[in-house]
Amino acid sequence: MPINASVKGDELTVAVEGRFDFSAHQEFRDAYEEAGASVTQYTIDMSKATYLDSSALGMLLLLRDHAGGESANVRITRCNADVKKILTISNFEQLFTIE
Amino acid sequence: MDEKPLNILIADDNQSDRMILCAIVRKMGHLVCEAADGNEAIEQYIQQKPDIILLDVIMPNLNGQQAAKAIKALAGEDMVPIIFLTSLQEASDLATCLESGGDDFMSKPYNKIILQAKINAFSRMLKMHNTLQKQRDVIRENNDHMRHEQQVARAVYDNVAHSGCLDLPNIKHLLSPFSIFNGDVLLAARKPSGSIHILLGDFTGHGLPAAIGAMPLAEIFYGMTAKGFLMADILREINLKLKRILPVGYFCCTCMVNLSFRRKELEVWMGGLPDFGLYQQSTGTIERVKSSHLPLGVLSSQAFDAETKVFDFLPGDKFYMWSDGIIEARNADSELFGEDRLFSIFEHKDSDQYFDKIINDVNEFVGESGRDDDTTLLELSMVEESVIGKVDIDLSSGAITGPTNWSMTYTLRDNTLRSFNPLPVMLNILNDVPALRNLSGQLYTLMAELFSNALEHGVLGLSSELKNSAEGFSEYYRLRSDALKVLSDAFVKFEFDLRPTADGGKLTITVEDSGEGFDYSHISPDSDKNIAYCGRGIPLIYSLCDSLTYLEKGNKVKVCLSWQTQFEE
Amino acid sequence: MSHLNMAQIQELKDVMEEGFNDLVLTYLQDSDNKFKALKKAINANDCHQVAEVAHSLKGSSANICAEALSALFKKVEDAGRAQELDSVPYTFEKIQEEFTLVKAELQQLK
Repeated sequence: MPINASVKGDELTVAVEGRFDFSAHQEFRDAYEEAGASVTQYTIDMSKATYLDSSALGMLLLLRDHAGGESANVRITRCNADVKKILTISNFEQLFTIE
Repeated sequence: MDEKPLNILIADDNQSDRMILCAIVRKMGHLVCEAADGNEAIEQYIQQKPDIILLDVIMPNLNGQQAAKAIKALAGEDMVPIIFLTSLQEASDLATCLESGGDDFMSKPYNKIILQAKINAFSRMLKMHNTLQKQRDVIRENNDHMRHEQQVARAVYDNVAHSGCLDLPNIKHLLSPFSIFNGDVLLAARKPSGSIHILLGDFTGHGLPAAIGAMPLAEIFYGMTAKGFLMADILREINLKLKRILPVGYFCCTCMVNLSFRRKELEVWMGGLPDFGLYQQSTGTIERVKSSHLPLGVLSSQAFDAETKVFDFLPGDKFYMWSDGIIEARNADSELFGEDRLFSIFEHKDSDQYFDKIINDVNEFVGESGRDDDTTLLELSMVEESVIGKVDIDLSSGAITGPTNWSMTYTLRDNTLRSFNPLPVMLNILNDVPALRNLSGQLYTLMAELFSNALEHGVLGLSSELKNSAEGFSEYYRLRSDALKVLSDAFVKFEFDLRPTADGGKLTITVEDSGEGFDYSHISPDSDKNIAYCGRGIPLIYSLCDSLTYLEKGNKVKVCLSWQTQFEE
Repeated sequence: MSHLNMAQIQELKDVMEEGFNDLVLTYLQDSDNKFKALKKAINANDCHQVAEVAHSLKGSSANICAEALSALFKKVEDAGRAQELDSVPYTFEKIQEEFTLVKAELQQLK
């Protein structure tokens, strides 16, 4: 499942494709760790993600930590119904802006 | 030749041919041993363990093909390349050579370059094979080691997890044998008050990382439940612990419930789990109970929210909890079992069948093919408390030892009243008295009633009549939390006095509060006449102790509890 | 025309170095013994034995670079395998002639 990262100004957009699970671990981590210090806003584009599991939730928490924890500015956008459901069950809207 | 020299066996009955081969091989820098027939070749193989064998096909006594078979059998898993020396031209003869274990051929007259190329190729292959074999051995060893570790971890886990009470008659459960290493946790224990705490957890990930968090979780759950802590306190503690010890990204989706026999209520806290089902017999319907929290181990203590939902839970009502292994069970077409299929099971009339039907339907759905043992399921039924009996407290430490003659005063003021639950601490001290341990359920209820009377009616001045209607109930709790915020110069003071008597002991508890008191003149010391007065849970308190007396302006109450010590034979 | 492949002989000498003389000696001695065995087998009409001994001589002769001689032994080996020894006495005579010439040349090389 490919991870595509692009930086525009101070915003990093990470697009996830296919199943978002543990196999994406390293790639996902590289995407935000290599983005540089200028990035202050993070957007996870889920439009092409079909599914996510609990390790993907863990990766999102890691990103949130990286982005400043409580003060992190992370948006999760364009989720399909399945992805949205998992995020909702986990009550991740308390931690992320889910659009 | 920059490599370590190989040991090469040359087996040829023709001496001059052997001399030429020996010369070529030695020139390449390898070591040579020789054999003049098949028997000698086998003997040399056993003694010299050559790396590569050059084997003539037609030899006296035992021919090359027979020798090759014997040598390959002796070699077992080791790789011994055999190059047949032959000028046989018939394809069928060559095939026989391959069948007997030959890896290559070379014909006479011997060509130095070709022989070198073959030996070098096999040398590389041997190196690769040896590396693979070593790696395989290391993997095998690591795997053995890991299995052993898992067994030990499992034994430790079982010891921690099995002190629970999953075998109570009102609990049905299925915990698949591999669930521990899938990160599933299922714990049950009774509080001193008799209530039941159940926790179903699902840690992120698999294997040891998932299992390891279960240890502190179970310890906290059992330890705090046995001491009478409230669900909120236990969850807060577990969350704090997991947050501290688990790396970011690891957490535990959790549902914890408290079944209260006395209040006929089920209190639920759910974080990060799919909907569970609450079956209510009166309506015959199933209600979906949703997660309203983040999983445990995600939020800091400050941000953690321990708010619970409370449901009526009458005899015949049932609560169903499951791991995502049930919903995510797949059939041969990779289709998920799914929530819709699961909840449709509850459309059946006979609620006694639900538990078995869930298991059967999932098994049937998955079929023979992909059973992966990743399922945890629990059914909790409301029954009369008498069905499951009293809390079993260990009295083995002996009934006549321990503190039997003491007194203590414990006063809680302002801030402490607002946020602290004093019951576990006090019960801990009372539980040190062996004879009282047997009464700990009774004591817990008694103390809880006395404390809430003193705090809510005494200090906060709330009227219990509000609690008679559902709207009033929530109004009551709203007023309660508002009043708590503005507390000042408030206190609740507990006095304990414990003395031995001729045949046992007597405990006197006096509770005084900073409130206005109330008119208790219509409360007769004769308990029978007070049944109608249900405001302060007084009939309940009466039923738990020998005497109850209000003192002064009604802001002080004294209860006595006595017992006889049973000496062991 | 030489009865040995001289280019091959040079390679063989390079490989064998000082062992070359020994090799020639061994070959000649071994061949003498095998000649006797071959003759015995022909007289006894033992086709299997004829083929086996001729096979061995074919190989060693090829290795010593005596190509024509090796080809003659192959004829005998083939006849033995075909169980058709009629032509063998004639071939054997030619082998003896060829072997004498090979032997002479090898001895000159020493």
